[in-house]
Amino acid sequence: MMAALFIFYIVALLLIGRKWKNSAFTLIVINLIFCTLMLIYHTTDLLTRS
Amino acid sequence: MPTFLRLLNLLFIFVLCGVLLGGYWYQFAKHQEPCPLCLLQRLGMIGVATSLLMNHRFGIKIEHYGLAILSALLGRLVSLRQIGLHICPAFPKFGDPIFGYDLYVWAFIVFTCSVLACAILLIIQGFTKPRNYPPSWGFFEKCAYGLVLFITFSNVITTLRDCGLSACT
Repeated sequence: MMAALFIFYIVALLLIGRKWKNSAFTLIVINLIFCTLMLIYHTTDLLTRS
Repeated sequence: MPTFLRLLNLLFIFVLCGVLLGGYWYQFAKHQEPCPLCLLQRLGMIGVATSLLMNHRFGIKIEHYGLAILSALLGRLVSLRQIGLHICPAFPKFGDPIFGYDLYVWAFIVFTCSVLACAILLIIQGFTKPRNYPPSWGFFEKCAYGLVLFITFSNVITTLRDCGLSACT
């Protein structure tokens, strides 16, 4: 799941290369939301190994 | 796009790439595997770099800076969470410190400076005329694009190697 967040950015970068601005912008916003959810998941997880 | 703003944007991206490559050096040379929160901090830095690349590809726009600030704020929140985890003296430190500070403290400083840099770039853009800047996609921009793409792709490989398809718990 963590790797998927990086894959989202690769897709966004490829969309930027193809000059698809709105798609890239939307994908980055969605990725930021997923990153926030992941942070919440790790914050609430008491067994986090950080 | 005025050369000055273009150069500042490019410099910003290369500095972020340098920080990310430094993290890689730390990971492979010192054999310090990144924690889940460290990966989220890397995601924040890649987010800032990607948003700034949009300035070069589509022209300087306020919404791109907004996206960069959002990414930096998310990364800052993650760093703050990790600082909060390790602030207790009884809790073990994560990794070796660099210049007296731990990596997550450096990440917090980088994200704070990113927000500051975006604010300064926005102010400069506000005082510059004309306000509509055409995109510039030259050699250095392509280099920055390739570097960010390479770093993101290598992060996919290493994250898959370390965590597989899990959430890295």
